Amino acid sequence: MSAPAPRRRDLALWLLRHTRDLLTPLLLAIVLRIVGQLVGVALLVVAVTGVIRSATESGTDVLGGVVLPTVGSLVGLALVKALLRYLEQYSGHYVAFSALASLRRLFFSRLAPQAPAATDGAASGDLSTRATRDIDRVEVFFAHTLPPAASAVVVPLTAIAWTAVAVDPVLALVMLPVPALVVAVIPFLSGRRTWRATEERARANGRISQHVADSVAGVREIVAFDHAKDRLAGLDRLGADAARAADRVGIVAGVRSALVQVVQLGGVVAVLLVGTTRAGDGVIGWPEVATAIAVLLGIAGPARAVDGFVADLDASFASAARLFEVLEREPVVSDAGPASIVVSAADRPHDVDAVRFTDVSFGYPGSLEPAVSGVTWSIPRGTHAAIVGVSGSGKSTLTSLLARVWDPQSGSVELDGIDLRGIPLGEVRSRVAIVSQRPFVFGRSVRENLVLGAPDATKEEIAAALHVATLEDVVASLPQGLDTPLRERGARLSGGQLQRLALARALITDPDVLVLDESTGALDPVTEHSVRQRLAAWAGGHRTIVEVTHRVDQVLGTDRVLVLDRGAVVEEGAPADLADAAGPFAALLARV
Amino acid sequence: MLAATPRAAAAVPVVLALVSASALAVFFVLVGRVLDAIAAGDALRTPVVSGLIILPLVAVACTLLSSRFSARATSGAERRLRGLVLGHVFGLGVTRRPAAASGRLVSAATTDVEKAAAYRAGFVGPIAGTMAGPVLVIIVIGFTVDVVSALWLAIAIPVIPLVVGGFQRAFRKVSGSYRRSTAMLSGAFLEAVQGLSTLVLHRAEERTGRDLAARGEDNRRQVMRLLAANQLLILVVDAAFSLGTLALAATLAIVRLLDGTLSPGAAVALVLLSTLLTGPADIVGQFFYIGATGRAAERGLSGVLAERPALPTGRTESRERPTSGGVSIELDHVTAGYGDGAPVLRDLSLSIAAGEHVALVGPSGVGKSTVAALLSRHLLPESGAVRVGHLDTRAASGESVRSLIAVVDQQTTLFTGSIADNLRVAKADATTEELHAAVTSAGLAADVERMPLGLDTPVGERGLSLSGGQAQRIAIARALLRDAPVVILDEPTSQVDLASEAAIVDALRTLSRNRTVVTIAHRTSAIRDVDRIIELGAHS
Ligand SMILES: Nc1ncnc2c1ncn2[C@@H]1O[C@H](COP(=O)(O)OP(=O)(O)OP(=O)(O)O)[C@@H](O)[C@H]1O
Ligand SMILES: Nc1ncnc2c1ncn2[C@@H]1O[C@H](COP(=O)(O)OP(=O)(O)OP(=O)(O)O)[C@@H](O)[C@H]1O
Ligand SMILES: [Mg+2]
Repeated sequence: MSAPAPRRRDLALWLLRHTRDLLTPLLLAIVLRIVGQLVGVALLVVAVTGVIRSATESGTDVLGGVVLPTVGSLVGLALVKALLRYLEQYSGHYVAFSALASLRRLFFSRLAPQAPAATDGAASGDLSTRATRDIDRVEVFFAHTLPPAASAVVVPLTAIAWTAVAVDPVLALVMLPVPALVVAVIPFLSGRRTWRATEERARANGRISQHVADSVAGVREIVAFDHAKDRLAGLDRLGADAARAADRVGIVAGVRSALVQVVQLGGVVAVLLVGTTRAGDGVIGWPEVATAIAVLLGIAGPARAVDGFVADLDASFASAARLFEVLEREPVVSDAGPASIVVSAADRPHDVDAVRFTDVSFGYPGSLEPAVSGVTWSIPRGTHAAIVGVSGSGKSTLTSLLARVWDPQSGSVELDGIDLRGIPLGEVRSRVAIVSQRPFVFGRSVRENLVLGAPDATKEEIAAALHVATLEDVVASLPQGLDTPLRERGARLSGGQLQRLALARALITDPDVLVLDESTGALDPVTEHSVRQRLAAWAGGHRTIVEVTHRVDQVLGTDRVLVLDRGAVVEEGAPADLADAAGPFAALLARV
Repeated sequence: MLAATPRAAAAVPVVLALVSASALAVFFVLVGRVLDAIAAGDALRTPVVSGLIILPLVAVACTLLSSRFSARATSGAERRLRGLVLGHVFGLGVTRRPAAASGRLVSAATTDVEKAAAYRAGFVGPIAGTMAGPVLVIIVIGFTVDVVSALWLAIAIPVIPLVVGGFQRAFRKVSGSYRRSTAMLSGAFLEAVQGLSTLVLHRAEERTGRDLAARGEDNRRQVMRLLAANQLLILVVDAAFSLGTLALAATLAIVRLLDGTLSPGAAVALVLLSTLLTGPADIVGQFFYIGATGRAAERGLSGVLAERPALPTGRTESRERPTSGGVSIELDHVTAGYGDGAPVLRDLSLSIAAGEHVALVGPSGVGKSTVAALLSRHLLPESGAVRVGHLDTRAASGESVRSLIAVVDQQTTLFTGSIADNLRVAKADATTEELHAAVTSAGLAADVERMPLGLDTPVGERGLSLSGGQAQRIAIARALLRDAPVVILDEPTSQVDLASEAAIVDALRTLSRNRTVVTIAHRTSAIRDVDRIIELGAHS
C-alpha cells in the first residue's frame, strides 16, 4: 500500500519541491552565515596579528599604530559577527518553521482523501506523531543543513587560500587536509548503518506514541483488568528499543566527533612541526606559524558544523521518509472531480432505483476470503430496506461500498442509476449519510458534533434533527444545553444517547439515502419505537433508508430485506413473503 | 520528577568537561612554548612534543565519554519519565477527564518527556561543564601564562551566566505559551486523525484542515516570537563573549607583551586560550530548543503529575476471593452523579445475592451504566454505600474491588495489536488453549478460523479492522478469561446477531453457574434465564 522507500536525494528534492517559495530567505541565510563565519576567522587572525605586530614593530608608535587599531577592529568585528549570527539564525528558522507549517497543511490535505479506507483501524497515534514530531524533525533539514554545509566548504577554503597568499603556501598545504577530512570524509563514515538505526528509532517513537494513545484511550479497560503493570512494561520495552537504536546512532556520532577533534588538533601539531622545520631553514618565522594556527582554529568551528548536522540530518531524513510514506500514498478511491455530471434532485428519473448493487464483490486487502461476493440488489427510492445476517457476514462492508469508502473489486454500485465512480465524492457523501456502527464523537460541544456535516444548519434544522432522534429532552437536561462539551469520545453521554446523537448528526445533512448500521442497538424498546416512527415521518416516502440489523424482529416492518451470509446473498424479497418461505430468513425469525 | 534524573547525570559531564578543558588549555600553552622556541631558534624538546600528542587525546577521550554518558542518561531519563507519566494517567481514573485530555496526555508522554529528558539529562550536565570549563582555563592561564591577565579574565567571565540567566527568566512566559500551543496542536491533530473517517463522511475534512492550518500558523508565530527573543540572547551573548574574552585577551596580551611580562609565544597562547572561554557562547543557541523548551516541558509534566485522581485511593484489601458461589452486591440508598448537573441516581437501593443472575433494565440514559461504574469503582456514590462482597467501595482501593469483577463495557476499547494480545489483557499468562476456549465460548471460533492469521490477526485501532460484532465478542472472551466472582455485562450482545447471542448467553450461563452476574440489556432475548429483573427508573 505504501510507496517504495525513497532515497535521500529524492527525499531532499521532494522536501524542497514542497517549499519552493522559501528559497530566497534560505539563500539569505546561507550568505549571512558565510560572511559571519569569515568575520569570526578574521577576529582571531586580527588578534594574533596585533600581538605579532606589537612584538616585532618596536620603536614605532605602538599604542597609536598597533594597540588602538587592533582593539578597535576587534570590537567592530565582534559586533558585526554577533549581528550577522542573529540575522542568519532568524532567517534560517523563518524558512524552517514556514516549511513545517506548510508540510503540516499538506499532510492533512493528503491524508484526508485516503480516509476512511486507509485510516480506519490505522494507528492514529502513530499518524499524528508523523504530523507533529516527524514534521518537527524535518526542521533540521531546512534550518540547519544548507547554510552550515555551504559555509563549511566556503569558509575554510577562503581562509586557507588567504593563508597561502598572505602567510605561507607550504603551511597552507599542510592545513588543507584538515577541513577536507572534517567536511568531506569523517561525517560520511558508516552512514548506512546509522541511517538504518535512525529509521528504527523513528519507527520506535511512532510505536511509543501509538502505545500511549491507545493506553490513554483504553484507561477504563486497563484499570478494569488490572493491566496497568503489563501495559507499562510494554511501554518500557518500546522505550528500550528506541534507546537501543538511539544508542547505536549515538556511538557512531560520538566516534565521528572525536575523530573530527583529533584531526583538527592534529592539524595544529602538524603546522607546528612543519613550521619549526621551515623556520629552521629560515624560510619563515614564528609569526607565520602563529597566524596559520590562528586560521586553523578559526575554521575549526565552521568545518565541524558538518559533523554536527549529519546525525540530526539522518533523523530528519528518517522522519521525512515516514512522511513520504503517508503523503505519497494513493487514495483508495479516486475522486471523479467536479467536472463530471451532477444531476439535481428534481431532474433525477423517478423510475430508477435509488441504490443498485450489480454483482458486487469486495475483499479487504490482506484477507483471503472476500467480505462481499456477487451481491446484486436494488432499493427503490423512498423505501425502507434492511440488510440482515449473522455477525461478520459483510453487512457493514456493503454499506461502506455504498458510501464509496472502498470501490468494489468487480461489479458496480449505482446511485440513482449512475455508477458511484462517476459521481464526485463530495456529492456521494452529501447524498448518502451513514450512521456508523461504532460512531466517533468529538470531544467538542453537542452543537459542534451535530452540525459537523452542515455547518450552516439553522436553529429549526437542529431542533428537527434532535426531535427525530428523540434527543431534545436529553439536550435540555444537559447543564449547558447544546453547548455542553461532550468530553473525549462523547464520554459525557450514555450509550443510547451517543447512538441517537450520531443519528441526528446524519439527519441534519438532509441525505437522499440514510444508512443505519445497527443504530438502535443500545436503545430501549420505548425509545426505539418513537425513533422509528419519527424516522418514517422524516423519510416521508421520498427518502430511502437502508438499515443494517441483526434483529430480525425489527425487519418485519420494512419494505424489503436482504439476507447475507458470508458475504453472499442467500435470500431477498419482502419480509412478509420471506417469513412464509421457510428459507434462511424464516429460520432467523424462528430464533427470536 | 527530579527523582527520575540522578545527580550523576549532571556531575559526570562536568568532571569530564573540566578534564578536557584543562588538557586543551595546557595544549595551547605548549603551542606558545613552541612558538617561542621557533623564535629563539631552539629545537623542540621531547616532553613538549609528547604533551602536544597526548593532551589532545585526553581531551577527545573526555568528549567521547561525555557524549556517551549523556546519551545513556537521556534515554534512561526518557524511559523513566514516560513510565511515570503513563502510570500517573492510569491512576487518574476515568470519569472526570477534561476535554482533549488524551491529546494533551499523549503529547505529555511523548514530546514533553523527550524534551524534558533531553534538557535534564542531556543538557544540564554538559552545559554546566561548558560553563565550568572556563574557570579551569583561567586557572591554567594564571599558573602558566600570567596571573594579572587571568584575574582580568576572571572578572569578565561571571558576568555572562548572569546575563543568560536574566534572559531565560524574561522569556519564560513565551516558551510556556509555545509549549501549550504545541500541545494543543498535537491534541487537535490526534483527534482529527482518530475521527478522520467521520469527518470525511460528513464532508467536514476541509473545514478541519483549515482549522488545523490556523492552529499550525499560530504555533509558528509562537515559535518565531520565542525565537526572536531567544536569538536576541544569542546576539547579546555572542557580542559579550567576543568582547569579554577574545578582545580582552588580545588587549591584555599586547599590553603585557609590551611591558615585557609576556614572551611573544605566551602572548599568542593567551589569545588562543581565549577561544576556550567562548564555549558557553556557542551553546547558548541551544537554549532555544533544548533549554527553553525543555524547561517549559518540565513545567508541563509537573502540571500533569500534579493532577490528583478524581477518587481517593482507598485501602488495599486482601485479595482472598471466594472460590465458588460468587459474592453479593449491595447498593444502599445510593445517590450518585458526575458532578455537573443533577445526580443520575437518587436514593437507589438494591441487593443482589451471591450467585444470583439479575438483569438491569430501563430506558436509555436512566443510569444503568452508572451502576456498572459504581460497582467497578470508577465512580463513588455522593451518599449511601456501594458494597461488592465485603468491600465498601468508599474504603477499599480500586484494585481490590476490581479484582472481584469482570466487566464487558458498553463501549469497549480494543488495543492496537492482535486478537491474542487483546485477550491477554485479561490474563497475561493465558495459554493458547485457554485463549481458544474463551474464543469458543464467546462464539468467535468460526470467525477466527476463517482469518488467515487466526488469533494473531491484528484488530486495528479500537478494533476497527473487525466487524462490530466480532469486536464485541472479543470483549466478551476477554471478560470470560478473567475468572472473577462477579460478572457485569453492559449490553454485551447489542452488536451480535440472535444466533450468536443465543450461543453466548448459553456459554455465559455455563461459565457463570457459580458467579454473580449482572446483565444490562433491553432485549428480552438477552435476559432470558435470569433469576430476577431489576427495573431502573420504572416509577418515574
Ligand atoms: N462521564 C459522564 N459525565 C457526565 N454525565 C454522564 C457521564 N456519563 C453518563 N452521564 C449521564 O448520566 C446519565 C446516565 O448515563 P448511563 O450511561 O448510566 O445511562 P444508561 O442507563 O446506561 O443508558 P443507555 O441505555 O443509553 O446506555 C445520562 O444522562 C448521561 O448523559
Ligand atoms: N477494515 C477491515 N480490514 C480487514 N477485514 C475487515 C475489515 N472490516 C471488516 N473486516 C472483515 O470482513 C468481514 C465482514 O465484516 P463486516 O463488518 O462487513 O460484518 P458485519 O456483517 O457488519 O458484522 P457485524 O454484524 O458483526 O457488524 C468480517 O470477517 C471482518 O472481520
Ligand atoms: Mg457491522
